[in-house]
Amino acid sequence: MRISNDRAFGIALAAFEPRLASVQERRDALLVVLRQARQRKLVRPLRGAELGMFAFLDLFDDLGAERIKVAGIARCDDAVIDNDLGIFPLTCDPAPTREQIPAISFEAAPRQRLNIAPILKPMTAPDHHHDHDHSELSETELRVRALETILTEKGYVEPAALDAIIQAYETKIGPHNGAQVVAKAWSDPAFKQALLDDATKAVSTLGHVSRVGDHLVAVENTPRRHNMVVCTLCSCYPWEMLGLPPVWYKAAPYRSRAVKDPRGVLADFGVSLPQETEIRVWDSTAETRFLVLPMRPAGTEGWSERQLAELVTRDSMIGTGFPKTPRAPS
Amino acid sequence: VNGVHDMGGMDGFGKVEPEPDEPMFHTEWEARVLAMVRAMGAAGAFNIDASRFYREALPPHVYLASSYYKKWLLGLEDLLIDRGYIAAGEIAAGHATQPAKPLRHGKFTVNDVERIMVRGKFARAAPAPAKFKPGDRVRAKNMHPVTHTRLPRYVRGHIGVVERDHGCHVFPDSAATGSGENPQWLYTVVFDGTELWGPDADPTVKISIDAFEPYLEAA
Repeated sequence: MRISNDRAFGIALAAFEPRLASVQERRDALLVVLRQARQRKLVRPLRGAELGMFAFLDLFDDLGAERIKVAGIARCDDAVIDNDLGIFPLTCDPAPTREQIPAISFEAAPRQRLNIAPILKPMTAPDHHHDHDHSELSETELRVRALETILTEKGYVEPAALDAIIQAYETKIGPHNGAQVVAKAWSDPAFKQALLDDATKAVSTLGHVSRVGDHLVAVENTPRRHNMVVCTLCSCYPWEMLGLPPVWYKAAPYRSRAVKDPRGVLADFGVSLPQETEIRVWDSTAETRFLVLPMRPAGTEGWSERQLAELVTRDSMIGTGFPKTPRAPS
Repeated sequence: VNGVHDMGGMDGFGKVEPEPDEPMFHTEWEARVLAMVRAMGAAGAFNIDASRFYREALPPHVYLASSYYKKWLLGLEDLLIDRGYIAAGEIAAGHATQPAKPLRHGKFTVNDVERIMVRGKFARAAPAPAKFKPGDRVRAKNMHPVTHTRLPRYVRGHIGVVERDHGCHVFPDSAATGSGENPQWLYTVVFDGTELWGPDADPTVKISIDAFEPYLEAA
């Protein structure tokens, strides 16, 4: 079972057990509790801070942690509220100001009615400003965890398989794949021609570039024509070659303007082209994926493919940048 | 659907702001959402076109105000609810409370990860000869389906030239709604910037889309 948000729990624990004075002590205590909870399979899936905290209370009961007392729990992911120690905002985004605190809606945990009176008072106590770096137990984060819990409980997915997907994205794809292809095309005219004729087939002949996609199209920059790739409808991108797309590629400014004002977009990247250069924008509206083959930088004669690949930037393969300027080969 | 996702040519979104040294994920939950979408798709709960359709179907204010992976999450929830894999009440409860619905390809396990990291193939056998060939002048149809389409609004009604023939591919407009793959010929069609954006547009700019044959008519 995945443990939800240990720092939020840590804050809760601080509220429950004032004798754990330092952050380190709270975390140590938390780890002990969570370890016991894991062994006893007591940590429950969370849905909203209120459920999370209810589950946490049950957990403490189950563990027989008598010293820990809780007065009430705020709803709406807002805070842990303790009758003795006060209110501990957890996840408001942005965090509530002191002036806003009275406006936070809450309701008591079912096991004990909440006494509202002490809520404001402790906010003035200096030793309650201890943990400003507490993490955001955001509504979205809780929602994602709830969904994963449901999919897991229903037997649709293995959590370990989700971990493995993420790991594969983080380690197996990325612009280094595209850079190898570009560097080879710069070095090997026959490969370059094959790439322009049928990029899927050409790239599949490179054993060291794994997981090549189907329907890849390579488009060549020349002194007369500059290519630029966009997906105005969503976020289509040759991720096998370039990794996952950056946020700007998926965001409205790029998607809206690339097809109408590509020179203006290039200016946002600090890229300027001669006025007579044709700009060709490829809108990825189907399952074809486009890889820009940038022009080989001058001054790289005799460089190895490995050296050349180091000059190839991600943006140069999208068409929003150029390869790096060569220095002496290493 | 004429949604806000169809952004080509819209004004007012401001400058492109690249983030230096951008991390692959900005929070852990983004990675979990990506993984869940990939896993449930691979397990057979939906295809890529349906997942796009559900993101496009988000209310415009939600679409515009949500981060990329937030849209993925919201679309995934809606899709799984509509197809009966989860219930809205389960999301509210944070737990499974209903029996599972069998997945076409079964549970997604670690053994399935390798196959999803290879891009799928969308080419299909041609049910009919191609109507167009490179060099043909074509007009993007003035069509406004209320379901999923990959014909962006900014080209509709405009004339371009067929540049490449990609063969027959799964037709997203059909696949998104569960109406089968209905393979169609796919072409790269190039438009002059001035054709799309008027006589004052930059004359050095050309824009292409990949257009399925049902989007096009001879011009």
